[in-house]
Amino acid sequence: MSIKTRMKIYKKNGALTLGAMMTLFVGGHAVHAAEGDWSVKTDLQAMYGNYSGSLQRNSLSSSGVIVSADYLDKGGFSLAANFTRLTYKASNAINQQGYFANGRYKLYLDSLPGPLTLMLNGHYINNNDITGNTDNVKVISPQVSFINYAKTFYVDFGYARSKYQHNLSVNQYTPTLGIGLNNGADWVQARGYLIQVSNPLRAQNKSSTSAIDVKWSHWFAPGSWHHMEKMQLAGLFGERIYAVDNDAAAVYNLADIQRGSLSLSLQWRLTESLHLMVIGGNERYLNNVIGNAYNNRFAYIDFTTNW
Amino acid sequence: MSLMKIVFTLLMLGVLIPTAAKAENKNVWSDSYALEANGKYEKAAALIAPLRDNGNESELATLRYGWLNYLQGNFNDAIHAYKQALERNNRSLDARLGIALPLMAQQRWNEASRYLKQVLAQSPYNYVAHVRLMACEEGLRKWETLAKHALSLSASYPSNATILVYLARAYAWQGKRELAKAAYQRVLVRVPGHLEARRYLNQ
Repeated sequence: MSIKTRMKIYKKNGALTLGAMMTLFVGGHAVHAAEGDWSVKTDLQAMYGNYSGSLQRNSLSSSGVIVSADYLDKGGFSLAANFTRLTYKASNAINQQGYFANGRYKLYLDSLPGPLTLMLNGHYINNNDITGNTDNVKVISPQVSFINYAKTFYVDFGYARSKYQHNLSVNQYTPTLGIGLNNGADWVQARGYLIQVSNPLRAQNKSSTSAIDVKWSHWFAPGSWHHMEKMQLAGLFGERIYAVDNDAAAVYNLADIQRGSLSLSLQWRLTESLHLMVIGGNERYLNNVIGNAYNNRFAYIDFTTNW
Repeated sequence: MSLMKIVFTLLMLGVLIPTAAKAENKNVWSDSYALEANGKYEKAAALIAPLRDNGNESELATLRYGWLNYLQGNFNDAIHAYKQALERNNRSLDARLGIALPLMAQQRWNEASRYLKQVLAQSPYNYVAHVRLMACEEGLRKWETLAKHALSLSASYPSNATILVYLARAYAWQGKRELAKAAYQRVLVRVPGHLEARRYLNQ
């Protein structure tokens, strides 16, 4: 009896698939023990936002890539990189590089009617901010989540600790509840953002902020005239500063106090493995130091490919 | 007691004890089947549990222990038992078909698909593996893959309604309404009272 193992990247149905293929020869009986165990997904994204009413800011643009790999249904990891440019009316632009890593592992317990997912997120940001206040930002963020098999109930609890230069650290707590309705056609989710700042002088005199992010998602029936797969309406109510959004792989290190937002997201399934998402929205901000309230009107596009 | 009597007694024990054990094992299997038929899966599993570690039918006992745990909703124990059966006999298609069930119950579609594809690599027209794999493709919402799979398989099983139901669902989810209707009509020819087909065609 001989056992041969090999790993290779193979093409299947015209799509490049990363597969760990272990071939066992047992008494001349070949068995493919693992084929296509890894699934890989790539997101290409770009965003442009224009500041309206801001005394200092002009525009924000960003582009990035996220690569996610999942091993069967057990877990996986994601790596992301993005480049952001914030332009000002009267000073030099900030050019920023952001890096994100995520590891996740699913636990299937018979005592629970659905899997538990343990997740650890990390962010690192550097930029050319001459004050150094928003440069060299490090975030570590664990999260535990649960969704039932019927996909009608979701709950998670996340924590993020952000470390900024010049005597600032931020603790964020994000309890989340999601409910599935109408046989899975609708999903309503609310996530609380409770943020505590160690140094209010570095946070526009805020020692803590709280906000709630509410999302309603609707999946369309197949064959609709608009060929849309999903629509999502999202709103943020309350205030938050230095927020960490692990779903978007984003840290709001450059933002002033966010005082609400509204956005509409539309998603199309172009093929079995290619999705397009566009988002348009408005975010309200306040610079408490100079008493300037302003808006950021933004557009976002994302292509997702499953390999 | 004379030496002859001792030798005779030992010989009799040597004959009778294995016979009694065999009879006891036979009762264990039939009792376990009877308990399963009455829905007493835990007791049925407890009866055959000791037979997993030794004896001629330890492999069967392990497979059955996996099945009875699956029926109880002890999916992790079922998966563990089927993996033990696979370690014992890596050629076992029974173990691969079996382990797919608790994995599917936990919606671990990719992992279940992996085992089902291993069955199909050995037995390309295995109906049970194909049907379970189609259920996984549905769970993963791979509608194009499911449509191709069901269309191809229906050529091998032309009288089968289940395959056509999967084909119809795959078309419906892709928005291909006319193709879905045609597939559901073919379902109704085979199963005239099929509720899902009737409901779709009456929309």
